[in-house]
Amino acid sequence: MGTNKRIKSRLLRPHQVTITKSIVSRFAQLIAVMVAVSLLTFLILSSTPGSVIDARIGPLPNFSPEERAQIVESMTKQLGLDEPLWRQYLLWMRQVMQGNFGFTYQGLNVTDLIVARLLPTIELGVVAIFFGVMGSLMVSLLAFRTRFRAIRGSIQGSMTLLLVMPAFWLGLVMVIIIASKLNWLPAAGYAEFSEGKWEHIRFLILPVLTLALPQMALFFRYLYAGLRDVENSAFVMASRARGISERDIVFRHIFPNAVLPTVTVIGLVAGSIISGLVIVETVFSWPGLGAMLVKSVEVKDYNTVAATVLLTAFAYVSVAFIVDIIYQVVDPRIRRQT
Amino acid sequence: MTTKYQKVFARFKKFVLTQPKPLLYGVILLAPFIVLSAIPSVIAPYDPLAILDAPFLGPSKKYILGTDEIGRDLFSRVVYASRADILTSLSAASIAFMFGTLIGLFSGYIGGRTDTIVMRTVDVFLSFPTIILALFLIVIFGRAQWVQILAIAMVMTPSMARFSRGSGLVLRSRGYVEASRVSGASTSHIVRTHILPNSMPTLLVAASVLSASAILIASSLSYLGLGAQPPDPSWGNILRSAFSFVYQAPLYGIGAGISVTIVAGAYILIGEGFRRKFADRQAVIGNTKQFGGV
Repeated sequence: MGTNKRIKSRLLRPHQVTITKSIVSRFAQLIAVMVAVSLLTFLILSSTPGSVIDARIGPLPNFSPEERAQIVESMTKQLGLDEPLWRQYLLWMRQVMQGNFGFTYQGLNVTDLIVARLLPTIELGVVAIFFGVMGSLMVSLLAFRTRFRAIRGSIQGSMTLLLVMPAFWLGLVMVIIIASKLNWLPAAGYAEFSEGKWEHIRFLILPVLTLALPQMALFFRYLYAGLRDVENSAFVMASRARGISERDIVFRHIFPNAVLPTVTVIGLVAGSIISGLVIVETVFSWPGLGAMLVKSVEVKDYNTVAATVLLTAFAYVSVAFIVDIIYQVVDPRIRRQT
Repeated sequence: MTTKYQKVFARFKKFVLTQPKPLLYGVILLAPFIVLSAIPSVIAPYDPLAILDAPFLGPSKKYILGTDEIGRDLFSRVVYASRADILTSLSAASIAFMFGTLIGLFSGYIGGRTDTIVMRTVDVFLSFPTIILALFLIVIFGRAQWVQILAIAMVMTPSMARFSRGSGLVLRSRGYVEASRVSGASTSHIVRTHILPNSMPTLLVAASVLSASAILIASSLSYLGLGAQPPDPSWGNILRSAFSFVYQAPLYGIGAGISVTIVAGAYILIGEGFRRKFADRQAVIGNTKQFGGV
C-alpha cells in the first residue's frame, strides 16, 4: 500500500507542475487581454466625433456664449479632458477598477444601473446554456443511436435550420404559436421571483427556449461529429470485437470521448450567447443588461454603453479562461501537449 | 443537326448538373433575392411607403402578405427591404473577407514575431461579442449606412483573419512556395501567386459562411433599430413591428422572417456545396457562430 502511494505521488508530480504552470501562463494572458480590451474600449470611446461636452450639455440655445464657455471649461477640468490621452486612460481605468463607470445623462450612477440589471441576465444566460447542453446531448445521442435514416435526417435538417434562423425570428415564431395561438405563456415581460415561483418561470420559458435552441443546434454539430469520429476509432472496433454490449460501448466508451472536445466549444460560443442575450432580452422585454444596452445606444449614453461593452468582454474572456482550465483538469491529454 | 446554341446549352446543362447538389439549391434559393434587391421597383406591386388600405388586412389576392399597421403593402415592403439588408450584408462580408484574408495570409505566411503580434491583436478584437462591439461602434460613429457596413465588417474581420491564417501557415512550407522563396521572390509575390490561389477553396467556403453571418448581424442590428430608419423598410424593423402587433396580426412578420432565413440558409448551402466540390474537410459548415452570427 505504502509503495503504491509513493509511486503514485511520483507519477503525479510532473503533471501537477505542468498544470500549475499552464494555469499561471493562461492567467497572465488573460490579464494582458483584459488590459488590451480596456484600452481598445477607451480608444473607441474617446474617438467620439464632436465634443463630449456638447453632447452632455445639449444643443446650443440653452446657454449664452459666455456661460457656455465657462461650462465647457469647468467640465473639461472635471472630466480630465485637458490631460493627454494616456493620462485620461489611466484615470478612467482607475475609476473602472473602483467600480465607478461615471454617470448617465440623467445623472444616475452607471454602476448601480448595471448591478440592478445583472441578475436577470445571468439567470437567463445560465439556464439557457444548461438546457442547450442538455438538449444537444439528448438529440445527438438520438441521432447517433437511431436505426431510422428519416429521424437522423430530420434532426440534422432542423438543427441546420435553427442555426440560420435569426434569434428574433425564432422568438417571433414561438410567440405566434405558443403565446398568441395556444395562449399558454405570456408573450413578453418579467415577473419578480417574489411574485411567485411559477409566475417567474412562466415568463422565463420563451426567452430561454429562444436562446437555448440555436446553442443546442451548435453543440449538436460538434457533438454529433465527435460521436461519428470516435465510433470509427480503433478502440471502439476492439471493444466490439471483445463482445462488449453496444449500450456499454456507446455510453462508456464513445460518449465520454466525444463529449470532452465539446467542452471547449462552450467557451468559444460564450460570445454568441452574450450577443444572443442582447437580442432575446430586447425581443421579450427582459429587464437585463442586453435590453439596457440597446436603450442606452438609442439615447447615445456613451458611459453606459462603454461600461456594458467592457463588462461583457471581461465576462467573455473569463468564461473562455475558466472553460480552458476545466478542460485541462478534466482531460490529461491536453496537458501533456502543452 | 445541332446548332451552335444547342451545343452551348448542352455544355451549360452538363456544367450545372455536375455541380454539388447543395451548391445548386443554394444558388436557386439565393437568386430570387439578388434579383429582388437589384430591381425592387419592377417586382413590388405598390410603393412601399404609400398608405393604401385599412391596417392589418390579412393576406389576399390584392395584398399577398397583407397590410401593416398603417395600411402599407407588406409584400412591397419586404421586397424593398431586401435592398437594404442584402446590400449592407454583402458589402460588409466582402470588406471583411478582403481584409481578413489579407491580414491572415500574410501573418500566417510570414510567421514569427509578426504573426504573434497580429494574432494577439486579433484575439483582443475577438474578446468582444460581435453584436455588442457593432452596437458600440455605431453609437460612437453614428447611424449612417456606411458606418453600419464598416462596423459589421470590423467585427467579422478578426475571425476571418484567424481562419485564413491557418491556410497561410499550412502552405508556407510547401515545396513550390519554398522554391519560389529560394529563387528570390518577394513576400507579396509569393502570397499573391502561390498562397492565395491555393487557399482559395477553403476561403470560398469561409466566405459563404461569412455572408450568412453578415446577413444575420445586419438584420439583428436593424431589428434593434439601428439599420434603415422608419419609414424605410428593412427585414429587421418589419419583424420588430410584427412583434408589437403579434395579437392583432400574427402573420405580419412571416415574409420578412422567411426571407432572412432563406438568404442565410442559401449561403450555408452554397458553402456546403463548395466544401464538397473542393473536398475540404477543414471547414465546419453551417456554423454561423464561427463568424459572430446570432
